[in-house]
Amino acid sequence: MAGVTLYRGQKVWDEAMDISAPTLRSAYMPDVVAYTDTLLLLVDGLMARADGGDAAARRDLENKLLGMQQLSYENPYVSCSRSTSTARSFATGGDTPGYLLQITGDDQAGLDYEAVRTRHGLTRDSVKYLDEVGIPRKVAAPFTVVAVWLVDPTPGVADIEVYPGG
Amino acid sequence: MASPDDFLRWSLSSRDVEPVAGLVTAPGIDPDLLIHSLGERLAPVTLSRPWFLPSYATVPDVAARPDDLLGPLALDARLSIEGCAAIYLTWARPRLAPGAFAGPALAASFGADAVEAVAPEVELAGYRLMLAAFLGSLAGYEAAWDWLRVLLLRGPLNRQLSIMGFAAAAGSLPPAVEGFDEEAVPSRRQVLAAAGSTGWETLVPSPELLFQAVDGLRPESTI
Repeated sequence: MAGVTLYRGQKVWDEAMDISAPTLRSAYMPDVVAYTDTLLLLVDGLMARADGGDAAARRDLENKLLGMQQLSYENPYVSCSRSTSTARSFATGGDTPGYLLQITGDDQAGLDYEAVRTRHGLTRDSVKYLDEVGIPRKVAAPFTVVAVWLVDPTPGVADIEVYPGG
Repeated sequence: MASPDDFLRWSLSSRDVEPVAGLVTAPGIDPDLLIHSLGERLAPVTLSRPWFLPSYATVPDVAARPDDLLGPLALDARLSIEGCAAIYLTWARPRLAPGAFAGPALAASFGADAVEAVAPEVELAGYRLMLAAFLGSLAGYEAAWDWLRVLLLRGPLNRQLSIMGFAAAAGSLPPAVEGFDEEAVPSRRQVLAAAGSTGWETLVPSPELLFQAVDGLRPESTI
């Protein structure tokens, strides 16, 4: 296990909130927990089969990774980035203020999209720039939010640390 | 920077255009004949079954959506293997009301597909349409660029990044867009400038890129 520092941008944040995967927040699935667990099993299975040389699984994995980055109902991971600037652009998406979260955790516990793609030679398209790492289900041990800033896209407006400094 | 081929390989290899991907791996298909066939068949208009757009066209009333922004079936793609392979694409332009892509109406539709209540089938329809529009745009269909404008404007942030990235890779970003950085999602200002620009229609399509991309698929697909 090695430590990893990730960043995430979101529009709303408070200290008590669960930061959960899009599938857990879906209003369209009858049992979002079972659905999320199933998707995670599917991704793990595809990676195991692709690692074992299964060409069909490799192709399915390529589609799955791209799909999870484009379709919220397919994404059982909390989207984070290794890049501060990417997370900041999500926080300020739509040119309005938002929250930039710094999260630390275990580099083996998340899904590192680009590492998986590199290992299998998979297509990245433009989402490679997201440098995305997914935290399964929700931000919980071994992952911890260690700092949060309120960030504003307006030039000249400084970030405001809202956690832990408050 | 991504290249157009990156996007095309992605589009062609995606499950969302599964028959197209299968086309390059089907045994007995002569690759040269395939490329020739693509060139021959892309131009004619052949309409077959409705594919995926109905679910996008029947999106529940999203707040601030111009009523006539979404058209009926706009694209159809299918594969026919009858000794050779062919792709049929039929494009209709999205129905855009006068003024729908300017001023307040344009701004009101920003990110409309990113609202929490969008159903999975609508999300998937938008995603599939984006992939198909990547192919269509490089095959020379101006309507594909119109759809990309719609999808860009309405999209969640990752879709906006992908479409802007595609346009940048194809050298096709409208002149009105300044300062787009592929390493960050585009700003609202950049998206509105791109979606509101008519400069897209002057872009030079390149069927050659489409054929090169299919060609590029072959070594990969034999793994």
